[in-house]
Amino acid sequence: MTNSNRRNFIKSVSGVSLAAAMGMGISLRAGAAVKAKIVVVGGGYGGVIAAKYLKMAEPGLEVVLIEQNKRYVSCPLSNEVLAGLGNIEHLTFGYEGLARRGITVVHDTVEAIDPQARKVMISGGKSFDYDRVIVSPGVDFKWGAIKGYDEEASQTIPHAWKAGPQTTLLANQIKDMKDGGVVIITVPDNPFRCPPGPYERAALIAHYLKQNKPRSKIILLDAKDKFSKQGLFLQGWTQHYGDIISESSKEKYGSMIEWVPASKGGEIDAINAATRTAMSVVGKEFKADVLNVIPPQHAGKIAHTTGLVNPKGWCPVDFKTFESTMHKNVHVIGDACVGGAMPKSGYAANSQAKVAVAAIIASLRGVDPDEPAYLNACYSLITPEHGISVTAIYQVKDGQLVEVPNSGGVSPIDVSPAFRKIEVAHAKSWLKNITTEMFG
Amino acid sequence: MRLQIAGVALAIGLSFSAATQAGAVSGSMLGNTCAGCHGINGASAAETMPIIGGQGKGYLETAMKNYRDGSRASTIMGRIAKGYNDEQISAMSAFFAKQPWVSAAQPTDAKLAKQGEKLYAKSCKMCHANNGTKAAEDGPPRLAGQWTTSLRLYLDCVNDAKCANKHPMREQLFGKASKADIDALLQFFASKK
Ligand SMILES: Cc1cc2nc3c(=O)[nH]c(=O)nc-3n(C[C@H](O)[C@H](O)[C@H](O)COP(=O)(O)OP(=O)(O)OC[C@H]3O[C@@H](n4cnc5c(N)ncnc54)[C@H](O)[C@@H]3O)c2cc1C
Ligand code: HEC
Ligand code: HEC
Repeated sequence: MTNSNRRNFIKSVSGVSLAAAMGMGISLRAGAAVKAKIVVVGGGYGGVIAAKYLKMAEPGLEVVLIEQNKRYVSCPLSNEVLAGLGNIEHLTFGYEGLARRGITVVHDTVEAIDPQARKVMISGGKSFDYDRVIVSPGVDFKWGAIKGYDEEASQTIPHAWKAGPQTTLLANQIKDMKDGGVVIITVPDNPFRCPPGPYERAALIAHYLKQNKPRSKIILLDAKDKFSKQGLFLQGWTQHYGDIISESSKEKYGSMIEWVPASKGGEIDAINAATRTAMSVVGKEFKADVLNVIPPQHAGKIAHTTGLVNPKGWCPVDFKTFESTMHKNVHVIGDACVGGAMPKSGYAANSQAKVAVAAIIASLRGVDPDEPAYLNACYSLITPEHGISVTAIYQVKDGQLVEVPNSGGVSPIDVSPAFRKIEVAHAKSWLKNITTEMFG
Repeated sequence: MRLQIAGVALAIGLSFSAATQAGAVSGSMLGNTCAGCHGINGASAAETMPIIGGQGKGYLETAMKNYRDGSRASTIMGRIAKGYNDEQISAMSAFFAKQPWVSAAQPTDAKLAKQGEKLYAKSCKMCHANNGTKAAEDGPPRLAGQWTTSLRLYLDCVNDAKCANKHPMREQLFGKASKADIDALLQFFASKK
């Protein structure tokens, strides 16, 4: 049977909402259209995909997406903005496309979720009933975990770990810094949002400084002894920033990026915002001209107030459905959940959203959910012509979310500059496709 | 749960998307994980990521298996394809094969396309039929409406002696083709949607 014949055949035998179910990839074991009310909390990489795929699979579902901000600013590729390579406007998206698809988009803050009454409360006492709620609030910072670093301090000492005004603040501080200045980036222990992010950030800031302020230095103070794509980052740092030489005077400034692991005293537990000083746990002080604190993180606040978190502050879930193990009918996806082997990335949040949606649809239809599939991929830039990537495919084994053996991995270490350049192009295409998938 | 069921549950096995055996993953479940890079249903909106929705099943399957064993060059697909067994590759390929092809929204140069048409008729037509719009079930891929940047990455590689890509006309054609010829051919394919 040809493709189109097969399509016609299927259409003629079932006759129910097939057009929707077929193309949209939620598998159709029973051709029943279901009606239910689903609320999605948080309109980021996880929540937007959840809302959209719910509606694509079952146009009859009532889907409400509640997001506190009018516009979403993508963290992915925001490190480019710090290097003067990108514009934050190009990373900013509106929710009109979702509203056009019949999703009710509400811009408000979710104050509480009542899993017993199955209600989501927003400010001003308004509430939404639900059959299922999907929670994708991302991370919040553990203010105070680093002494001296709280929300107020972040107004002068940026974290820039949620993109937007914080990104611009850090970019401006770097732009205003004197040649010969020191940029310090403090990095938390695992798990945290975007494991390769701090090292990409160091590289791209170095790219800017090399052109504009070549005497400057970047110090990464790390609470860990190893990090994501480490071999590739160290190679790239050495290649591009390992031997800085002044273009005018030919003076040698040496290596621009210094990484201080925990075992060498890199872990910090306090800062002084006024003097831009970071204090390490072993009592060493590091004085910066620009101090960027990436604070320790936990699940977004609403996950805590709803009682969805474990003692470490992340939400445990059943990996086949992303349903909370603490409360029924509540699914937690993205950075906020305990992701097993999956890192806290936008791609992971996207992939988890689809697994949660498939499980919810199957349950509404009263059928067994499909065996889930999960994928992650993350690109990082070291220069505008040097890109690297990591990818993995996952499966559930004995209740744990683990990598499929002998698959995935990082870009090869021994490839040509042309290969690295192509990966930069793919990184940009990735952003275009994943944000089109979300907001288009 | 307050849910109303409309319509009747169908007892037919829809093999294209339903998992057929315990532990098997459906094509749609697998295919949806690719969308972050290849677009919803494989309709890529970005110029370096190939459109895969609507391509022939056999071609997709071969591509994935070639990526997996290294006989097709890639930056990332080799690592990704290693995550799947034959059955899963077959399921995801069937899923993408039944999606509609959505041609890339890209500008075309009509004059170059005209030159490309002649080259196409002479050297490509016998395999990439119907102005390159044919996605053979188990043969050459559709080229018309594909992102030219993506096609060029493939062809640049074919021209490189170290490249793993096994295009059947590698020696006869691409070893000799000039950049101008390739430009013209790509514009021709871009002009056919
Ligand atoms: C510098 C940097 C670079 C990165 N680069 C990459 C990359 O290249 N690739 C990649 O895959 N990932 C990358 N990431 C990681 C990625 O940004 C996150 O993993 C991803 O955003 C997680 O999605 P999420 O849905 O869990 O959370 P988010 O995308 O943060 O979305 C959460 C949303 O919920 C809203 N919200 C929270 N609480 C409430 C409430 N109570 N009421 C209403 N709304 C609420 C927030 O406003 C927010 O819009 C990067 C991160 C950083 C910081
Ligand atoms: C991280 C991004 C990414 C993900 C995820 C991804 N791909 Fe790809 N895909 C690419 C890139 C880039 C290429 C070009 C080859 C290369 O450089 O790896 C490609 C090429 C392909 C091709 C060749 C198409 C052609 O005609 O040239 C196929 C088929 C394909 N991918 C299938 C898939 C499938 C199926 C999945 C999901 C299981 C998938 N891809 C997931 C990035 C991705
Ligand atoms: C003998 C048959 C044959 C001829 C003639 C032929 N091709 Fe192909 N082409 C194929 C096959 C088979 C493949 C799939 C190869 C693979 O899997 O790597 C292919 C793949 C391609 C691809 C990769 C597509 C993609 O999406 O990755 C391009 C580009 C291409 N051909 C261009 C051309 C052009 C241009 C011509 C004419 C100058 C041509 N081919 C002539 C059979 C042919």
